[in-house]
Amino acid sequence: MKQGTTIYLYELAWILPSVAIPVGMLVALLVTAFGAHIHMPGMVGRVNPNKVDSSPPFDRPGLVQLAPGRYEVNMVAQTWSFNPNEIHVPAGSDVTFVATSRDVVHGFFIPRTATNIMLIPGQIARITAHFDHPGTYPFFCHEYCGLLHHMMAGQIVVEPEQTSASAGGQ
Amino acid sequence: MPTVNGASVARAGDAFQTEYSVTRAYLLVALVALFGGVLTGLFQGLEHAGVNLYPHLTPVVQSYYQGLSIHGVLNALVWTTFFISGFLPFVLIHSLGRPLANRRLAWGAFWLMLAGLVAAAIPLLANAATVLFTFYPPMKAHWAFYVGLTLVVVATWLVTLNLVLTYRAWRREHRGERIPLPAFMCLITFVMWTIASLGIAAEMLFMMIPWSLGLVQGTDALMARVLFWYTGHPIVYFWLLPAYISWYVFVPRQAGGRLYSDPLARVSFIMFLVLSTPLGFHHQFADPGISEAWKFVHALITFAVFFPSLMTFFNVVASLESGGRAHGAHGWVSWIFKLPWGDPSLACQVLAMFTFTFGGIGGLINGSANLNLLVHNTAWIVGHLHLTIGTAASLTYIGITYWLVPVLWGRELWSRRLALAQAWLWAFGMLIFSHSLHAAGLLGMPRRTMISAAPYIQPGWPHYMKLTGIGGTILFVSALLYFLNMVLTMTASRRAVQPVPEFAEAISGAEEAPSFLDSFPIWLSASAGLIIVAYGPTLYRLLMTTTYDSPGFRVW
Repeated sequence: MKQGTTIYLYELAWILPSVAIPVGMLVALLVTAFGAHIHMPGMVGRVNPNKVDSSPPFDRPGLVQLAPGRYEVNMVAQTWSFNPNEIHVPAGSDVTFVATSRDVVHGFFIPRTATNIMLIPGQIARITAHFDHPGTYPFFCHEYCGLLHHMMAGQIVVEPEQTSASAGGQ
Repeated sequence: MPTVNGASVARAGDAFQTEYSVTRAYLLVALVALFGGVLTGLFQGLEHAGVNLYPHLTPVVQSYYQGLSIHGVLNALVWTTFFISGFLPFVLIHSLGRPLANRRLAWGAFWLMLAGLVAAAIPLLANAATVLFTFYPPMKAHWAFYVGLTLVVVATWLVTLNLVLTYRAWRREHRGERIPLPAFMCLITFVMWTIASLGIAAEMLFMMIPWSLGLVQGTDALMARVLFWYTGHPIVYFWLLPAYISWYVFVPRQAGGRLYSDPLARVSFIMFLVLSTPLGFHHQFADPGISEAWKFVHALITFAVFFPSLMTFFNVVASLESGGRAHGAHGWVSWIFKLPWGDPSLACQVLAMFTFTFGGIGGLINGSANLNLLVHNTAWIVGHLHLTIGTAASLTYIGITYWLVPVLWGRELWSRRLALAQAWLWAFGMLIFSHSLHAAGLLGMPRRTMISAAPYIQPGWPHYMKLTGIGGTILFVSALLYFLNMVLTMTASRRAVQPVPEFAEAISGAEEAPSFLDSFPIWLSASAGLIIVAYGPTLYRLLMTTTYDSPGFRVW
């Protein structure tokens, strides 16, 4: 093999696309964030994990209608349940989950969606999901939180649009 | 004295008797840990397939989650750390052709690491530390668990110290010479790890240990997670770089070829030193309390650290190709089949590289914030981890032991064919296991969950849960073949002095690399600077605003 130049040429032929791949992925990331509005959870605020029950909005867990088709769920996670653990909203709704944990780290995940957030004691988590189609959507804890972690779950019932919304407690 | 490119073997063994004993000790512990890890791993896999053996295991193991904690700690933390701490000093002394600077320090590090392991293992086995290997507070384990793991980390710093002292002693004797590539890589790996482990050390010393001892009342989950993931991503490079070292400096010669480019290899490792640490937020994309802007910065650096892995891919594959061509291959692809596949050490490592290609692609997906939201904390991540640490690193380590154990014990490998069967079974089992977990993760199946007992099993999951059990069982069989071969090699195989494999020569050698590449101060400053930029503002804000008001919970 001709050494020197040949080796450098091969190296260069590999290096240039190797730079292009990460750069391309970064561009894709920024486009989806600022073009398609796919955002990660960010800064919301702190709440004392020992005083969750008396700190608004977590003193009143449940569904709140902000406007037609816009809802907020104030949710408290604890071993091994969510409060509320069942929510009813009409199809076409935007539902913002405002949640925290009153003990260990939990997670909140609606499978096969990007509604995926950690519930960290001390931190307020906030994430919005959009429900177009009627049906039952499960959610569950996806961070190990103790012996019965696998039992920690709930569901969102999306009803055909004419039905009025209601929140079930536990 | 042995030289860089070709030790006179018997003499090397004599010159390095103490070093060989230390490496043997590390390897024994590593193998015992791996055995415990794969055994509990089998139980996890079977549980997913609907065969829950845990009720029959009490009182030895109390729950699925205790088993899972043992599996993670033994396989991800103990097997890796002990193997690396034994293997890299072995490479370094051969590369520099001189013994370790301080042999008492070498033994001291080993005994400290072992003491730490024992301290952590007691609460773990007594069901007092069922917190998984990530031990997120405010779940609170017994203090001995945190103290033990901290001692293991401190012991790795002593290994770093010994390697650095050895390098300095060599430097005094060889002024103006290039650092041989293998030694350079060993130093980079341990120095990178030492910088990276400062996060977990701070978490342990300032948060977990005082809190678990009752010296402070409260803790904070987010602060702990930030410190943990400062270490938690670069730790995968600590696992991976020793595999890369083997791929760069041993595998090309095992394949009958030469290393393609020494300069490119040096550049890759320098980039790992600089880029491995300031990217931990990509494990916290889903965490509230960290600004999205800094998460994007970490995503960017995550993509950047993919670059040296792509360089490694090119360099290592080109080196393998030179081996295939040396065996008479001509076409574009035929060199793959001309590789000496009958050598189990090579077979393991080439299969590990092949698997790692998919692990790397999966890693890019995980690092992409938008896609990460679909797979975060799902079985996909478990599939990814088993491709990377579970195969790219572990199958390479196994491949290394196929020559290293015979060298250290002065016996032939007991069975080459058994070793070959083991390698292919591992690759095959992992294909099924990892594919199933990736697919189940895309369907939303959570990770680290006793999933067979969950009330929310979704359509599509059961199929992959069964396959996970089947893949896991094949992996376990492969591991049994491995242990059988290792035990018999150490105890019953024919005694014969085994040659230490020589380091691969380079087609493009060190003389073509600019000498500033070997200047550690430049790269250490770059590393520190980038870490301060990437972590400084968030850490400062957390330090100023965090109130440590979470009490501890025992939830198992």
